[in-house]
Amino acid sequence: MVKRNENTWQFKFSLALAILMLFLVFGYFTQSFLEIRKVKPVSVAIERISRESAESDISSKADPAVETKNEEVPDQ
Amino acid sequence: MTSTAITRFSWGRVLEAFAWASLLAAFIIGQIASQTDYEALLKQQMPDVKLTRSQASRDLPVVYRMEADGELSPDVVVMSEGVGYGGPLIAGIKARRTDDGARLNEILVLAHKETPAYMERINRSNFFRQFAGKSVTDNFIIGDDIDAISGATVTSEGFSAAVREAVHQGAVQHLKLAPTWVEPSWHFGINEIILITLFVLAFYSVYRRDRLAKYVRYLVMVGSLVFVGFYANASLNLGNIAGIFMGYIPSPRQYPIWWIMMTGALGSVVILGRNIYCHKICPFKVVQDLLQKISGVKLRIKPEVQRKSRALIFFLSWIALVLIFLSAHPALGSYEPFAMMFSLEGLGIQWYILPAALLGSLFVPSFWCRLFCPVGLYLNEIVRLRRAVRERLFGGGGKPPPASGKTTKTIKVEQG
Repeated sequence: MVKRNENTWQFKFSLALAILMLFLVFGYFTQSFLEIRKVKPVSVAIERISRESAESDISSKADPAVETKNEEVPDQ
Repeated sequence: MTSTAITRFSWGRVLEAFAWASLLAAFIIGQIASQTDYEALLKQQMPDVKLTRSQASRDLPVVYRMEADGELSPDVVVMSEGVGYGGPLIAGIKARRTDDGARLNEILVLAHKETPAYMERINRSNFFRQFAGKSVTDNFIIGDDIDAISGATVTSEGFSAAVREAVHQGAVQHLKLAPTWVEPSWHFGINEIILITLFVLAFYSVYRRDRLAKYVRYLVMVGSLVFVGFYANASLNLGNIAGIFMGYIPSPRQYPIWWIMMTGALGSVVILGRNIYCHKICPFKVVQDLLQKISGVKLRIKPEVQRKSRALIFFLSWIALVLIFLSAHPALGSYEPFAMMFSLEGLGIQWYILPAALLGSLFVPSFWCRLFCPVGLYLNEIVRLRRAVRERLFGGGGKPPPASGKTTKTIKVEQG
């Protein structure tokens, strides 16, 4: 009985320490997340992708011959 | 019963697929978002200056002319890129033409992936002031004409290499100067020999059971704590592993210690099937063992909690990796307290993670390793995978590999 009580106390204390640690680690993740939000990587990536696709659209519309010409180049 | 088993299995697979997909998405977004836009970076630091890319030479490095209030500045900005401890770094070098070539005026740090504490140390020590007034034909070599900052040696080396390469390239390509500078040699010295010796001794203490092995074990403990921990501060962390996937690999010439550490840790796991790093080389393990010796308290962890620790570490490292990949910044996800423990520098909540980890280790043996360490889990997973592959290829009735945990004690708990 004494042994069992001792074990319970030990389990509870070690679990409490683990939970405390877990809270702190999540705090660190939150801190990092807030830091990343300042840079807005998702918006930057979307902006870059749309800009690049718009640029490629413009260049293909402006000079369609280039594309046709490239396609027509026979294999060497 | 069967349908419950199928449902559980499916949910596990779905979660796993989601985890991999989100990691891939974070990686792609991070890589696209972190593509270098020199002009945007310079604009952040010099919003009032009009920048024009120099067309004098199309060769690298990229050079910008500056114009403020309608007047052309005699200074130009030379763009330079290098690799630091955490990943790539970008600096703008303000330089001015002189009769004998050009001289540097100022170094602008435009982007980096270094641990904020290291950068703070570099800035506090006025590291970049050393470059002011130097000629483009100078050597820019650490230990020669540039002094490294103690405790941030790799970062110092990264910036010096970036400046050196850009300036020398510019001197040859743009100014048509003949190279008169000294090329940097390999940094293979006493530090690298000490680390290799530590690994050799660690292997000896693992594979031999004689009296000498016992003393060697103590020697390795002291060596890893003093050298790997406090002197080199070269503990492996999740950021190092994630950095490999993002291509943040320092050159062996610039940072051989990184290569020795990676080869030793991964080599022992892949070739020998033994996690030598966690058991013998990790300085934080030594700190935890010492705390255990001091307190003499060995609280037990509930077996159920111990069993779930593997899933917990996977979950924590998934969050950490998403943050790292999204930001392309290894320091933003590495939640381990190692760097802080041995440099005593950290930011924000990191100041609380270290004491909590130490407090836990005071009462619970290998507290951090057993419940939170992602490096230990991944190295042990490679050992597991290796054993599984070996068993499949060669068969054999070897004992089943442990599911997780760093220490022998952990393995016993989990198997029991």
